[in-house]
Amino acid sequence: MTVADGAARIAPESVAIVDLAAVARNVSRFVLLADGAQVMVVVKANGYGHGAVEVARAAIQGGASWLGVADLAEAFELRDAHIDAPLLAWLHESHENFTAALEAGIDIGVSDLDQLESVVRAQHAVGAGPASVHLKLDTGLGRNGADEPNWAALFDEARRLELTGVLRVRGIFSHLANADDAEDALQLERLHRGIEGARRAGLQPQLRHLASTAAALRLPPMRLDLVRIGIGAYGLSPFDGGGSAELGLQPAMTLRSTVVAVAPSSDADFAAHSGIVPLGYGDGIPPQAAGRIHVTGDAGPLLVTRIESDHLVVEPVSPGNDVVRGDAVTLFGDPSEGVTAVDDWARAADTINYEIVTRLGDRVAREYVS
Amino acid sequence: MTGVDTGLGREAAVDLGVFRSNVALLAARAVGGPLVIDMTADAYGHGLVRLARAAAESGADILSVRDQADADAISDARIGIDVHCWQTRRFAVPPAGSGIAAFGFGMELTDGAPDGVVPVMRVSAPVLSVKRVPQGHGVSYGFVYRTPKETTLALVPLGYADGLPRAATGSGRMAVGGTQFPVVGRIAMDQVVLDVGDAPIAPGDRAVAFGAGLDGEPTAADWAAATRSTAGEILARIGRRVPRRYIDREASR
Repeated sequence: MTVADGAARIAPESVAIVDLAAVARNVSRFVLLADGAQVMVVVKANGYGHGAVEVARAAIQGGASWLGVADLAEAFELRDAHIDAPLLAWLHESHENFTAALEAGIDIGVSDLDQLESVVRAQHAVGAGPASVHLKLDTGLGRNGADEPNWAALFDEARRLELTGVLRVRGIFSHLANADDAEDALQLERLHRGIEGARRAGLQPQLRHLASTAAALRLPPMRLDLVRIGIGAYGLSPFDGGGSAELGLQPAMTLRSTVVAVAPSSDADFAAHSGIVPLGYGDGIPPQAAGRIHVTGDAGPLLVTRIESDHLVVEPVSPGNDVVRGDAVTLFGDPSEGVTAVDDWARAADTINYEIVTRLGDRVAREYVS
Repeated sequence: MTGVDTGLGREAAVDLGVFRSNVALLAARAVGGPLVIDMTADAYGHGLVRLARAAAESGADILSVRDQADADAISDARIGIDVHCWQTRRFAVPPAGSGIAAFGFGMELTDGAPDGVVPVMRVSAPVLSVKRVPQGHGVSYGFVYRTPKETTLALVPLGYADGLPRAATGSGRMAVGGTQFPVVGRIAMDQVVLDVGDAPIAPGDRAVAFGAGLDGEPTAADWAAATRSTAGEILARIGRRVPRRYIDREASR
C-alpha cells in the first residue's frame, strides 16, 4: 500500500448524523399540541432508521411518557438498554410466548382471543402482578385488531380475566387509514362504539388511543388520552406536499458522505468531472431517484446521475464547480439550512419520506449530536 | 439479553449449496480470465463473510468489494482469496457492474445470466392472522384497495422497513403453500396484507415474498420488474429485522 492509498483510508466515511436535541424539541412540540393527552413516541424499525435506543432516550427527555414498537424483539432492545419507560408492542404471532415480555414490564397490544390466552399462559408462568394489555380494535384498516363482530367476546373474556387478577386492560386502541376526513371520522365513531362496549363489559381502559402524527396535528377530537407520534418525532411531515418547517418540526437526520474518486464526466461537452460517493442502494439509497435529485457539494449543487450497489455518481450542475476528490457531500438534512430535504428524495423516488429514512442501511454509521 | 429475539419469524434463508453451484458453473465458463464475483453491498444482502468463504471454495478467483473494512473482514476470517476494493486505490473507480449471476440473477447490461444459475435467497414470514371480511372492506393506508367481494385477508409481518419496496403496492405477490396471492393495499413499514380469497390459509402458514421461483413463489426479479428496480436492489436492501439463516447441506453431510 502506498502513502496515497493510506491517505484515502482516513477520508471520512459516510455518516448519518442524528440530532437528538431536534428529536427532543419535536417531541416537546407534540406534548404541547396534545393539550393534556399523553405522548407515545414510536421507535419501531430501529427508530425509523435513526436508532431506536438513542431516539427513545431523547423522546423521554422531550416529554414522551410512553414508547411504542411493533414487535417484541424491538421492545427487548429498549429494555436491554435499560430504558424503563412504559412501552407498548402490538404486532405478535397469535400464539406468541409473552413470558419474557411480561417479565420485562412490556404492555401487550392484544388483537384476539388467542393472544389473550397467550398472555394468560405467560402471566401464570411469571406469576407476578396482572399483565397490562391494550385491546386493539380494527376500525377499518383491515390489518390486525379485532373485527367489530368479535369485540363483545374479547371484552367479556378480558373482563373475566381482570376479575381473576391475571391481567388489567390499561388501554383500548386502533389505527387510522388516513384515507380522508370522512373515513377517519367513521373510524373514530367505531372506536367510540368499541369503548362503550368495553365499558358495558365492565372494563375501564385509562388510555384510549387512535391518532398518529397526522391526526394528532390536524384532528383534535382524535387525540383522546394518548397520541402515538412516529414520523413527526423525527421532524418529518406525514402530509403529501408539506414540509417540516410549516409544522414547526426539524428533521433530525443529516446524511453526509465524501467524494472518494473522480472520473471524466459522462457528458463529453462538459469539462467537469464526475464524483464517486461511497453510498449506494445497498446502503438504502433509492436508485429510482437517479437523474432526479440534487445534493450539496463543497462547490455547489450536484446532480446524482447514477446509483449503484455501493456508490453513486454526482456531477456539478454548473460549469466551474468541478468535483474534487475529498469534497464533502450532504445528501439530505434540514432544508432550512439550504440542503436537500428527505422529502425531495421521497418525491424523486416516487415514495414517502418514511421509506427514505427507514431503509437507510446498517452499514451507514450513525453519529449522535445533542 | 431480554427474552428471545423472535423477530416475528421473519427470515432470509441463504442456500450456500446453491451459491456454490452457481459459482462453480460460472468458474467453468470463465475461460481465459479470472472469475470476479461482485460482493459489494454485503454480498447483495446475503452476508459478506459467509458468501466469501463459499465463493473461495467454489472456484472464484477475485472478490470485488467497496472498502478496506470489507477486505479486512474477509482476511480476518482467514479466507484465502484475492480481494479488490476499489475505494482504497487513488483515482480508482468502481468496476462496471460485474453482474449478480452468482446470486442467481442475470445482468441487466448483458444478455442475461448463464443457464443454470438459481436464486440463493428466500425471504419469508409466517401469516400472523387471517380475517374474513365483506365486499368493500378497505385495506391499509388510504384505502387504495377495497375488497371486490367477500374474502379472507392474511397479515404478513414484512414491510418496507424489511426491504419490500413500497412502490410494489398494487403489484407485489407472495406465495403461501405454493400458490401466489396479491399483496393488497399500501405496503406499510412493518406489514402487508394478502387477499387470499377462499383459500384455507391459517396463522402460522409461511408466506414467501420471494425465492428461487421453483415452488410457485415469486423471485426478486418479479418484485423488481414492477418497481423500476433490479433484482440486485431487492436483495441488497433486505433489512436488519430479517435474520439470515444459512442452509449448508454440504457442511452437514
